[in-house]
Amino acid sequence: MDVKKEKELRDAEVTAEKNILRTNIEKFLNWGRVHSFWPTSFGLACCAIEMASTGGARYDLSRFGYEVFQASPRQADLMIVAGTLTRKMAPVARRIYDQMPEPKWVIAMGNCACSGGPFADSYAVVPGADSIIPIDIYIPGCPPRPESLIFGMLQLKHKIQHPSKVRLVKYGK
Amino acid sequence: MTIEGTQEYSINMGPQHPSTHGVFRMVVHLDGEVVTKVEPKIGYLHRGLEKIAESRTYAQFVPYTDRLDYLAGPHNSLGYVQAVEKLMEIELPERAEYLRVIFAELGRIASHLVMIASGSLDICGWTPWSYCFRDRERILDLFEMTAGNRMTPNYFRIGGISHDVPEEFMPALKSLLDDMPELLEEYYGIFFGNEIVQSRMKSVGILPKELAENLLITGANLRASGVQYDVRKAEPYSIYDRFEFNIPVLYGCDTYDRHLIRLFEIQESSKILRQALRDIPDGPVMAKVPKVIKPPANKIYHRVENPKGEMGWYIVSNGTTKPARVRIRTGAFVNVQMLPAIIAGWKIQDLVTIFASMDLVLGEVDK
Amino acid sequence: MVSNILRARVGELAVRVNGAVEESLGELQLTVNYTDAIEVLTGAKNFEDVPCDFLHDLCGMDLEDHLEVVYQLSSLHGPQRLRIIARVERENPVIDSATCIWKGSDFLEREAFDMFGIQFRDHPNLKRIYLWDDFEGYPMRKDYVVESYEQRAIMRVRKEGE
Repeated sequence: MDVKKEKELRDAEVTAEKNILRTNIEKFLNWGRVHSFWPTSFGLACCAIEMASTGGARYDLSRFGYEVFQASPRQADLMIVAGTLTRKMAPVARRIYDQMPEPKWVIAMGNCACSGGPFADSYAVVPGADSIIPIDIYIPGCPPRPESLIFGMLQLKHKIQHPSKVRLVKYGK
Repeated sequence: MTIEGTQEYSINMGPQHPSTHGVFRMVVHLDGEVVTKVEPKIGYLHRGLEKIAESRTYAQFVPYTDRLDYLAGPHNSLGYVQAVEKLMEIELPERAEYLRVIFAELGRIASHLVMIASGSLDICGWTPWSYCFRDRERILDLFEMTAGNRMTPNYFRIGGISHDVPEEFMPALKSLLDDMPELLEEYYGIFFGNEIVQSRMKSVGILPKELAENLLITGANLRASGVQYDVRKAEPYSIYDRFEFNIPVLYGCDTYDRHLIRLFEIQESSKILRQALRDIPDGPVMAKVPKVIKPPANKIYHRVENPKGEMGWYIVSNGTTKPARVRIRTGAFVNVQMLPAIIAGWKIQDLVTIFASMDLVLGEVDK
Repeated sequence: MVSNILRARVGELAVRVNGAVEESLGELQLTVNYTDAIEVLTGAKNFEDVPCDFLHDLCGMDLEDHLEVVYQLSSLHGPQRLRIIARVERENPVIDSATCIWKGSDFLEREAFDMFGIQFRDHPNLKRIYLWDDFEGYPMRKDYVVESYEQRAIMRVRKEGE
């Protein structure tokens, strides 16, 4: 090991002993956010029941710190669109999204929210919630298992912590 | 009547509200904190299933039926596949009938558990909620090991069921049934015996018998108002006439009784399950069904006792592979009318418990 | 199975209103004109010995040249069942409301209005129930064309006070 690196490590050790960590503010805030999402309980259909079971005893979403389901969108930073989004409901969904404070993320849970699912050709259904609200994570399944929801939320955590991994790639010139 | 100097006002509850169990919206007219009128607004989950049915073949529509009342998927499918079988006059093998009944009754137990759970959640009781969801998981495990999906098993086919249950199904079911009396006692103690629950729910939201009949209320809500009527007894479908079970009936007509009757129904369902487990024969699980399902042109109205009320399937066939009309009569949809009829005069906090006691599932209300 | 008493009672009623009786798969069916619907329903409710006094279902039905309103009757006190079909015109679908007999038919009639555009006379609150107020057309009619994906993906503008 070269001397320079060794010196750096020793310095880091000294700072750690003083209970100080060096990071930038953005990273620090994100670290806080990803360990305590407050989802708004926006249950629409079947998937809402799976969302509830995820908070239940067996799957225990609180292991990750995500169990605080808020009834009011004003106190939430994550919206889980769980179920079929109908055209009658679409303006309401958008309004709830607008009421959430920044920063905010959206998970589309279930086939219906991803793309309309089995009801995509119905006259009353929006084919995919992403035409109404911007969506970060898509979880397929009809309904997805609680493990899928947990995995989706962990993927969102990953996405927030490493913004460079998910930035849009520019093709062409 | 308003007090001098005050005025009536109306507030909007829902469609996104934790105590409306989904996307139900009501406009509540208040005088102080006394509710004078409620206008239910539904349709926020209307997916147009009846229209979808006209563009699908008979077999393709089976998965959709699970998503009507998503808390008790199998029983909806049971109504649909039986209606089509009646049209085509298919005879089922014995084992398939038994397995259907087992699944349908398991679905009923799961649904009633969620009802009790959410009823307690609405008055801020978290513990009964976690207890009920804990035991519901065991039923979902049974669904999962057989059909692969937890809530919407899509297990029934026209002419039988998709495949036989795995080996470990019967022992798991048996152990669940063995624990059932103890669990019921636990729910009774933690929820129904609770003093707060009793004072919040007893003699609240009275639905008299005559009104219930006139409003066409069906299912457990009707039975909690003193009418002993159950399609499983009145017009036995599948093999329900072979089992011995009672129809629980309560005469309190109030919110408490509407919750309590679900507990008794779980008890009766487990009785049926025990008998089914004892009598189930071996054999094939699928009848001889033509490759292309093409019922002769005819009409059928078939009804089953769904956990939420009576479900009726009116199927009109025109002799092709697609139905001319599939009409779904759902219990919960008609039961919504109960709310505006009985709500006047109760306080706003009673509105929540009365709503919970109706046991609505929005998938079934809105179709 | 249909009992002989019920068959006789329905026969009497059919003669009175000039309706057609059919029987298939163990169900009795009585087809009448829309003008007689309420008379038939009241008659069926007050049948002697076999009253069909519980309305299970009320739905619309599109048969290209005319519409139908289908009533499924049964009873809480016996096994009898009866289906009554009232034929209504397609151009001007009007029928008397059954809310005077069963209060609970309120929502069922609103649904039939929503899906088929059948007008129920003397209904207390005949408005769309599932779809929003400014929805155009009646989706369950056979000639309704479902909008394309792109049109449905556009967010509907919410009306004030909806």
